[in-house]
Amino acid sequence: MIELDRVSRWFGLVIGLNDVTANIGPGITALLGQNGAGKTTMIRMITGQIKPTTGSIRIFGEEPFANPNVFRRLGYCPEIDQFYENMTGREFVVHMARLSDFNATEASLRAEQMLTLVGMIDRCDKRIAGYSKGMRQRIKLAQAMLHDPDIILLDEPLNGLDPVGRHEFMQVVGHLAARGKCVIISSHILSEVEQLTQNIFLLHRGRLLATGDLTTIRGLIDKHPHRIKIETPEPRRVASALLPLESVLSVSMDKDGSVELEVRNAGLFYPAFADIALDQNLPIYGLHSPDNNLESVFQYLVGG
Amino acid sequence: MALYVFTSTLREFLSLRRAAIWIIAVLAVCGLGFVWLNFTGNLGTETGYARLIGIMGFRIIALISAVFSTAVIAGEVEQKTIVYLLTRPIPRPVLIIARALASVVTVAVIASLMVFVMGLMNFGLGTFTNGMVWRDVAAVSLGAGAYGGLFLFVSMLLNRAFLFCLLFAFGWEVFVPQMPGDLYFASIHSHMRALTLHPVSAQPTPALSNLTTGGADSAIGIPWGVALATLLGCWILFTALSAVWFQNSEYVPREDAE
Repeated sequence: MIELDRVSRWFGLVIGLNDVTANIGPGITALLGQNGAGKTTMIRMITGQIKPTTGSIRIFGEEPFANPNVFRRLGYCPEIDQFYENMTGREFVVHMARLSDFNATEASLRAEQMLTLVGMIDRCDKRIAGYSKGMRQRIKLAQAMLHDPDIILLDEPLNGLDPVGRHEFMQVVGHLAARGKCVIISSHILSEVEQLTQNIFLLHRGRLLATGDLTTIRGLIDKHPHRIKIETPEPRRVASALLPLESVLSVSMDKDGSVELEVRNAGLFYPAFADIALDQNLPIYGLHSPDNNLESVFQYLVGG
Repeated sequence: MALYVFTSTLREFLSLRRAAIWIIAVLAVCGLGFVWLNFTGNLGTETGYARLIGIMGFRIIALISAVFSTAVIAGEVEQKTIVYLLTRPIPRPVLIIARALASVVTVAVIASLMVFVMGLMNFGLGTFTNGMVWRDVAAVSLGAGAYGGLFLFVSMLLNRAFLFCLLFAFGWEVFVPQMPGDLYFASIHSHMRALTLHPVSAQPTPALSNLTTGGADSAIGIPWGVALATLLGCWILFTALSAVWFQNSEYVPREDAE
């Protein structure tokens, strides 16, 4: 559906996207990267708002820039939080439907359906100016889907959504993917998209750092030492119980009373840790890994 | 789709709140004109009306045009709502031309309203049968098109286009018609005045007064047909250039550009 061939984009002396080649097909694909990684630049090029400086982009075999044929099959939920504030949610979605070449009756019908789908039907007749961040996100999502596009690009769509909203959103996205749509979701939070898809594109400073299955990428990460912090009232006992494990490289006690481990293979460590904790009845109040975030992933992958 | 873009933009530009603001502005300008007429003594209805239109009416059109022309695309870029327009299956030239036409119609409506109010101040109910008033309505409508096209193109090219449009309206358009030789041909204001066929005052106008009144009483040597062709040409040419530019340029919210 989407083909990027050695695409680069410069903004003056700053490079936004650097020599990216990729093919994106049906299903959910997560575009991951920290702020400034080039996610929005890539999305803007796919949505035909900006042109690549070098290389080419093809959507269904056509160049997307200012191309209405492409826009008929593409829905876009932008990251920006701007609207026509004086309109109501319903007016806005109907307006977008009319701009998608639907007549007044069809536009109203589709707006009604989409507003129901995103859970805004009971609040859509209030002015957008009074909407919360989550309500605005839902309206943006509704306008992106109303013309039943084959490709849907969602730029940081989970920003501002409450847990219930996230759950509903994930259901909608899953439903779209099940219908064979190509859904691209950008995010800078790994755990956020992990629940949606295993298929990721990892961008870092404009470069495509890794693509493919998240499990494989996690495997690559797990080859590197991984820090795990355990909160316990008995740090010495926990440390002595875990030290014999083959995957544990080092153990240190923090000033706050917690235990910090450095493990070789986190995938092997976690099941073994669960067994020991149960067998020896270790008092564990909390467990988290400072390395289990996107920043650490990038550090591992770029060898930083 | 073009019709929908045109009507929805027209509704936006002539919304109740905006319309109320402009009606108040028109009445304020006309009130100022009424005071001015009372201070200038007995000019006669036709001369008084012609001067009022020349000094105030035609100047205000450039200002109103600057406001609405920069709202066509530059306003959407500023508000960051341009993204919704540019990712819809509507050809960009259709989008810009339909919106530009709506802005010109809006300016023409407001300017015509002003002409009628100024006419009522001088001719009373005879305004609606007065040929001069109707010629002025045609002139301000064409002027709205010419200014609209030019300012739209400026807003395609430059950031903070409104400022440049104001400089043109109250700098170039005031001083160029006063310059020696045939430079007045380079002013939209001069062409609008040439279209109106207003009577030339019998009294010679001192140079300084001429400057401040925008040459309201100076004879314009532009033939009627040339003025008509120039205003129409300016409107069509600059709108077409804007459409071509818009089709090939990138418009993303600037502060968001990575």
